[in-house]
Amino acid sequence: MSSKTNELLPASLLIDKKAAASLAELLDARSRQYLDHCLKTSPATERHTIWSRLYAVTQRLKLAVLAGGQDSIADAVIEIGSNMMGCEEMAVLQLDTDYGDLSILNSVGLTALQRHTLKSQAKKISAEINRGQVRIVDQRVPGDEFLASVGITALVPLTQAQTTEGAIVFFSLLPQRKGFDSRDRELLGLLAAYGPSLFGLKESAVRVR
Amino acid sequence: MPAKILIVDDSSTTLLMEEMLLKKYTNFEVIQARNGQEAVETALIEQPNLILMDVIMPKMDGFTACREMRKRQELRETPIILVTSRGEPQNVEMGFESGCNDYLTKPIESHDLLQMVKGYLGGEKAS
Repeated sequence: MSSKTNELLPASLLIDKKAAASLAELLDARSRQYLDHCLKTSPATERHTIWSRLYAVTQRLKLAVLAGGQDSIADAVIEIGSNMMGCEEMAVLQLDTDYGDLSILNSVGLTALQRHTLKSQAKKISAEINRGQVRIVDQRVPGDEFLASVGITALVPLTQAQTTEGAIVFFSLLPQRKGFDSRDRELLGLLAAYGPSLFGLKESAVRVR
Repeated sequence: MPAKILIVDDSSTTLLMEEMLLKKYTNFEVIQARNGQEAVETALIEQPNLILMDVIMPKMDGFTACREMRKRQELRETPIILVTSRGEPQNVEMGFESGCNDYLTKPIESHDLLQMVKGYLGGEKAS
């Protein structure tokens, strides 16, 4: 964009545009690091698959930031869940911290029961999200019983400045997957690390190019 | 001239991963399409040596695209590998009925993808 066009934009939009551009740069730099790791690793190893997926995911998130709009980012997250983790039942949630309520920003494949659960169990699910930890749910682990009972298999809190504003929740995995494993943990961690910045961008930040 | 691979998926993330693996670990040329219809059109023009194709896509799904390709003389013998999250036996069966040569389930493993491609086209990348 030319400097002349920039001068015509309100200052707040310029700041937001900068935030989006710098986040895209950050994702790109991270992506190049993953590619480097990948190229130093044998493709026959599990580690190579992890680096490859992290590379593709950071590139995809960068494209979403540059494409504009929180819908575009939420779509990217849903696509990543489906294609890189084998989960086609998931939701991006926004947390209402005052009322312990949840709203669905974007979702894919949720059954009516899962939607109902997110609504009827909002307070309890919010409390779990507010623990602020990336969770791969295991019903045998003490503390995971509630999430397991409502069918949540993994949870990624979106926390910024010690405030959790939302989460990505995953339900059933595709039949060929027995459950989330160590390969998924780093992808989930990546979403937790960048999710707040991605969803925290003001609409204008990701719309102005 | 290097062998040409057509990768077809409506998921940018999958295309990014496949493209990186194929470009870094093989000498093959990589071209892309975003749905089944585009895949058939691109394949007729580009005559790829191998096609890696998703199943669930907008406009035309992978099974239909596979059947359409098999109707064309130019694409009758081109190896087609379906790469999909639909790994249930009935879907695998439908894939083979539509004329695919092989089936790979998502999420993709680097090794599985490269081994399968090299199984059809050979060719380690010279380092």
